[in-house]
Amino acid sequence: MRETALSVHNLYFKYPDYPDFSSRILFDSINLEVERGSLSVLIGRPDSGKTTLSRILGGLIPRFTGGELRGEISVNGKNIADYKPYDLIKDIGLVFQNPEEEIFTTRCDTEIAFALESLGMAGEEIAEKVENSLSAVGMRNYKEKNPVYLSGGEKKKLLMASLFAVDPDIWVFDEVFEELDPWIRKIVLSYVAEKKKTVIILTSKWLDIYGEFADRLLILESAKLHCFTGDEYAGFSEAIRLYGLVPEKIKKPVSVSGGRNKNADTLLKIRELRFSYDNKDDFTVEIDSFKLVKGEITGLIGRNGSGKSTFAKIICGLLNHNNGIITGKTGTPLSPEYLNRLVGYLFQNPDFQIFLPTVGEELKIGLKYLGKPVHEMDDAVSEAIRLFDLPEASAPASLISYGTKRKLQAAIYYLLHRSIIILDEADSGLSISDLVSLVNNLYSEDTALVVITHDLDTITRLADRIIFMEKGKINRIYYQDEFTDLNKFRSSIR
Amino acid sequence: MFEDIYYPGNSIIHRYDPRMKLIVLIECVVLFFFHIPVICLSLYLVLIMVVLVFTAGLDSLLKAIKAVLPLLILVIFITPLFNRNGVPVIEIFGRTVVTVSGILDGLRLAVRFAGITVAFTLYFKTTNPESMVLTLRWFGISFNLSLIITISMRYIPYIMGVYRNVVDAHKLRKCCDESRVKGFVYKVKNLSPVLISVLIHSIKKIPVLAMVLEKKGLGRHNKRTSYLELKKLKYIFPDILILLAITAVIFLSLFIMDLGINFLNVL
Repeated sequence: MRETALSVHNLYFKYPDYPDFSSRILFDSINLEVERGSLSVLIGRPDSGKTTLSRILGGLIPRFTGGELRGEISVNGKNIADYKPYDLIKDIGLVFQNPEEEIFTTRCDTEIAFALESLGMAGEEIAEKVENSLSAVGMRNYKEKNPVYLSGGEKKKLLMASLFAVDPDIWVFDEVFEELDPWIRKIVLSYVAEKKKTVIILTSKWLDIYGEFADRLLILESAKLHCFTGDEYAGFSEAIRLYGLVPEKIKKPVSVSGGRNKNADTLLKIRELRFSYDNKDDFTVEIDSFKLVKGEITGLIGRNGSGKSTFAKIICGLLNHNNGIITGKTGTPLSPEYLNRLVGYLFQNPDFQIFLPTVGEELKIGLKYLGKPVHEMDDAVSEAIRLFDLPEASAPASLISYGTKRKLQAAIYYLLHRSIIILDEADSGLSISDLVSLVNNLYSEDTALVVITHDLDTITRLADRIIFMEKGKINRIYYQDEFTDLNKFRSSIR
Repeated sequence: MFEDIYYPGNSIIHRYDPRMKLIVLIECVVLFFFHIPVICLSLYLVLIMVVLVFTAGLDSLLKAIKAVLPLLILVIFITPLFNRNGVPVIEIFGRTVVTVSGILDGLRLAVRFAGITVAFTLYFKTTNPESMVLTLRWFGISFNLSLIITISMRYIPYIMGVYRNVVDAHKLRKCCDESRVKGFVYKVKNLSPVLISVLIHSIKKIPVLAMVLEKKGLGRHNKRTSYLELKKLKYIFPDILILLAITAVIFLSLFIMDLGINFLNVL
């Protein structure tokens, strides 16, 4: 029997209530013993409280948020109620789900060094640790780069490197792996396993790779925690299906184009497009030819930093291309303002898109711009809330979870009936079931969907064609018959 | 894409020691407060502008001037109304409204304000935030205060980025092309939901930032070390000489100017 690194006894937590909104009990009598050197994967739906749990373990909640916390948590035998978060940084370290919340310096190396400076390490030792941890995540050349210019996945890798450098006894990763390249996931998880640290991975989405490394699987469901050890893997697989975290079968919308239908109506065509950022001269997007047709689901994949989000922002008119042409079905050039209204774009970080006080107001604002009457708006909002499984209209939008914010983003464009909808890192913070139902809800015969993701397994079952981007260019387009064999497909893009 | 205040480069100004650069900045600010002829102040301003253009690009200069332009215009037009001594320029019903002295005062204030703005822009554009913290700490300012200053530096462009993101998010929900819609009231009316959204986002950021800082060990009682360090003084001897030379030139120019003014008065 190994020593206990982390124990939770009778954990109860509830956020403070707000006017017109009562918080629910997030955890009720949760018990957990985590053995030193074990790797646990905790899976739960968006809004099940995974982020809150990780922050409670780090001593950050309720210290900065308020709320009612009962029970006892000890980390390395220390009762966390008796310590401040900064006293626990060698005991427990967290990587946040949203990297925008965490990065605050202007260079990658100083981001990593900050915590080491707090620990009072000598300059040379810090330099060595910075170097090693950046190498561990494949970012050795990023030392002096400003994190502001990194892609979402790269930012997550930087934060993992920060954790590796501090090297606490317990590592907690909050939805970190979904936005990473599949091959990077394997490298990082192997590194983590090799270090023999106590690791807790919190996720909304079950990735098969977790099965290779996990000693214990946990399901957070309805304020309770259900534990499965490695021997009970079969029981766990059954349970995640039972709780709807993995769908029985991925139901693909009936596609009219099949990816190669030359007669399908073209919604958008791109020729000889060139784009570069004013202040990021080493990166360009070059798309020679690309088109989107009605009723088609396109998967957009590529390594972190390959230009997927930049390309998406050009398509929806948020970034102006330097050269080339974007036309509509009649061949007339489309202005950025027109593209704004043609394309719906779910930002990679929902916090930049969700900004109104309540869920209902978020859903209504676009309908107000359309001039819909009040009763029609109310009906549409109710329908969207039901269809996308959202909290009630009066729920404060800023308090809902990351994954639920993603569903809310999708619901907004569902109500606006956009012809093209781009889901950037669509699966981040969502379970596979949630992603599939979201795609099914947004799909129609008149819509083209572009799904940017790192989840090859799911996208091969949803898409009509998959575009592989590399260094700002379309490297290759795969059609359905080319990705039916997942292993062959995986090896072809590696 | 969030813009950075710092403009990376390898110019002489970029490479100049940040401590000496800060002293030069202070000297520039003091210089602009001297009561010297507008034409001389303007020459100083032009000189700093040229340096800024060559080190951080014309865009940096234009953005800095654009940011303070309304204030400069206000100063130029309002100041003369409060100084009506000297030769009258505009008289209404026999009452002096604007004088030469008043106009010169307005111009002096505007040039002074523009000069300080451009000098600070040059400093921020050519000094990376890490060096800035180290410089402030070298001058004896506490780590916490230095950190507040640099976090502000980081968050000003961040908030500008959030603003643009919120504007983008609104654009993607609109139903008609509003790019040609004119009208001040319309624009102000449309701006308020964006500004409120940015404000909400920024306020939400406060507890999260506090969490992150404590999670990274801010508040610990042990002595804090530093990963990056400034060069020892003995290695920046040329930089110190440059500082002394700049100081000498400033004093000399002031002295010559004073002599010239006295000479003109005698004549």
